Amino acid sequence: MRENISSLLGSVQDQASGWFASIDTRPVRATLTTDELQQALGGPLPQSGMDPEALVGILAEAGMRGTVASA
Amino acid sequence: MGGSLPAALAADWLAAAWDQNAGIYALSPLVSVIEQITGSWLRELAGLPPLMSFGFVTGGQMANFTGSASARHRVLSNAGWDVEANGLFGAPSIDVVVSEEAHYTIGMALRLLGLGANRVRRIPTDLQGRMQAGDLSTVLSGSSAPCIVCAQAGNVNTGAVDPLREIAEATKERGAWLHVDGAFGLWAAAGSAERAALVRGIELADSIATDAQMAERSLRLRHRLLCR
Repeated sequence: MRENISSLLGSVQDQASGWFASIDTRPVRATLTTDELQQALGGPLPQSGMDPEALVGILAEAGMRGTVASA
Repeated sequence: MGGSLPAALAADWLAAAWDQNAGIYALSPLVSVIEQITGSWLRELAGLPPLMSFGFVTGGQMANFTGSASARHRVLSNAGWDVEANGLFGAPSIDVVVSEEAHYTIGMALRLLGLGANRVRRIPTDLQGRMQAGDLSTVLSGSSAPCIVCAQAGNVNTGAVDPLREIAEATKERGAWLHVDGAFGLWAAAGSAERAALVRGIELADSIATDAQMAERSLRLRHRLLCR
């Protein structure tokens, strides 16, 4: 797993850069509803782990519209 | 402790980029929903009551503080005293009972809450640092004042767990509040049957502090409080 850390953190850098790039044009408020966020991130208790890149991808996608941003 | 899971590190980087104010829902719906989801998963993992409320706090110290504050509120409310409105001056006296091996953050929480670190009753422990439940029962039977008992799931030096079921039964019989410092011990409840047996009775607690840093090697939002 550790040999993939550079790739994983590189993906996060891309995700975070995309989020920063959206700030000037996105609404300040979150535009996902509670139900939409629950659907994206929740569900039954997972019975096993998942690929970190996939997990962070889901989190980053939810963060694009589930966060508040005014900076 | 030490080192993090790659997924936890990556999520921490995202959280740093987002820099959300997680205090209320409107300021970050994402964080609030993550709190709801992970709280639900943790209750299921640890076999805790589904109606137990859950919240992220800033550290293990604040988890024990918040649990103790909830305890102070409830036992004084039961005695007809509104501590939030009237403070502690003139309030009914509270018996606070901890073990001789309680973590220092319990003493700090009691100081911050005006309950005093030195006026608590300290119950002797065995050689592994477990509270002696028989001694607890003796102390509890000697008073009828509002009472808070702080037990421990996971002694920081030995890993030993207080006899939680016996402590919970004695505490309930007395009508007292039971707070459990389960910084790392709570996670045994999510393990094998053999490990879960070590912390049996923790589900009877009124409040539980826990710490994801130790079990999940997560970095941010790692401390939790569960409360009835």
